[in-house]
Amino acid sequence: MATKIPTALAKEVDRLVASGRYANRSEVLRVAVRALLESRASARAGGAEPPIPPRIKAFRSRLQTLAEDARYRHRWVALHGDQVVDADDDHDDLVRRVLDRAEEPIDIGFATEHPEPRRIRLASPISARRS
Amino acid sequence: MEARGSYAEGEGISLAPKLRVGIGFGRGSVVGASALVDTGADVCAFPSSLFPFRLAEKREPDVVLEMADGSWVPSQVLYPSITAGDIRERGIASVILPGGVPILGRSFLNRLAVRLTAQYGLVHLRTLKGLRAP
Repeated sequence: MATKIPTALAKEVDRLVASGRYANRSEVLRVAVRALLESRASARAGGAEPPIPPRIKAFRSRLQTLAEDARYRHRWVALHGDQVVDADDDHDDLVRRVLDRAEEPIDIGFATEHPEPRRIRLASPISARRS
Repeated sequence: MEARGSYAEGEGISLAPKLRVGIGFGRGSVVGASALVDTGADVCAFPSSLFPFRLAEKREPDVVLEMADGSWVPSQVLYPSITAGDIRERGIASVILPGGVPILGRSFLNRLAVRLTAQYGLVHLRTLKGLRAP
């Protein structure tokens, strides 16, 4: 598997090889990739939260701001960019109206002082097979 | 309005209730698939490989999916229309996953009367007048 890495990074790899700790460049990359995969696996097993994407951070921040407005506080809101295009106490009613609108994208969320992701369970299907 | 499916052999040791559905994201953006009737799932779930077109971006972008193995992943909810037989329901909360099988979860099933009779291999869904999803 061939790969390209920046010159500066390649020099660091060569330095590690020159130090004698690693036999060659391939071994450095193998060890690095293994460490990355193991750290991700242990993070998943330990329930560590993945980083929140900037887009979602901005969305939650906007929901917090809207919660300061009596028109939107503790209501479902539909946002096109930063603009509120609709709001409703009932989530499903709001979705029905949003689907009829032409703008895209439209993001739906609950305006509250402490926005959190809704948790959705996809606990099945669990498949049992005979051995 | 009603839809009928059947029990089909899957990968597991027991037959699975399945239904042929259409999943639509607007005019000209509809696909058909055989989906598993799954009352254990909060929402419907479809593999991304089903959709050869751009999905409408009317969405709830900040949700977390708890999977069967206890792990969880950040995701977003989309709202396609789902048709089955002569039933058509709009705005069905659904998630798109990298893989897996199409699943009809409670976001769709809770709008209907659902009757599963495994001994006769029957899957029967029908609308109820005046019923609204809880």
